[in-house]
Amino acid sequence: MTAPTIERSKTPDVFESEEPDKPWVTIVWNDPVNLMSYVTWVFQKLFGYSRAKATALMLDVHHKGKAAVSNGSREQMEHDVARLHAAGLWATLQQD
Amino acid sequence: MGSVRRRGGVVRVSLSDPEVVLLASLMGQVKQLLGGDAVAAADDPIDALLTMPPAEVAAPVDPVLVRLLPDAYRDDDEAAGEFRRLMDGDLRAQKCAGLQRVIDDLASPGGRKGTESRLELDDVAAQQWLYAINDVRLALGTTLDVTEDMDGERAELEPDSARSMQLGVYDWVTWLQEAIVRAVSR
Repeated sequence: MTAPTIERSKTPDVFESEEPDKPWVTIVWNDPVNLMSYVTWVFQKLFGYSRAKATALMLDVHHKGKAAVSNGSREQMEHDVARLHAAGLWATLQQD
Repeated sequence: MGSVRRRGGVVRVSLSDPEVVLLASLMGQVKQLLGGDAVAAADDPIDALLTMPPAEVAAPVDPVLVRLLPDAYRDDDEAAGEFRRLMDGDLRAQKCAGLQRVIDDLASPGGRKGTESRLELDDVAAQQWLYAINDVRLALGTTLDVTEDMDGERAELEPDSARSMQLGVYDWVTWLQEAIVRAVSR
């Protein structure tokens, strides 16, 4: 199984009050209800990931209990979390 | 027994009358739990512009609502509260609108054959259906305390028991979701 590659933001946002070299990440947590196929489809749909990348992330959620599915500014991650909540996935954001 | 097929760019869902009644009822119950028409009405763009976010929104206590409307921050109560204050209304309205969409689709299917309703879902409709079905599964799964491996429990269940029938409903909704995901993932 492949671990997801989290690309770090190269240009820190100087307007952010948080430590600029620490990007924010969106975490999706495992739960016993969401279907593996559905979670994979949601990752493809919301983030435009390939089937392979979405499947790898889904398997990380399933086997490791969580996976970082996106990273960027705090605002972007809040947006991603809101979209994942709309899809019924259990998502949170935090600073890496 | 229902069926799901992809044909000509749309997902075709055929459901028997009892399945239509069951699905619409489940959608209606989850919508009610989320606040029903009161929150769905706030979806109006003019209303939304005129409505200020509330000063505070309490985190839900009901386990189903906790799962449908989770905290956005795990270890930061203040940030989680602020996120909820700003986003809770939108999330409820979005979910209620999706659930209502499925209820409306079920009430006026594109076609009938015998005792079956036939519905054609384009990409947008299929997404709304999947989101709404997922909310129903989250509600049922939380209520029934579903775990990842229930084979042992299922094997020992009395077929006529209430729990066996409830899990039967859950399994049927699971089948429907899986079939639609497969149809849109092809």
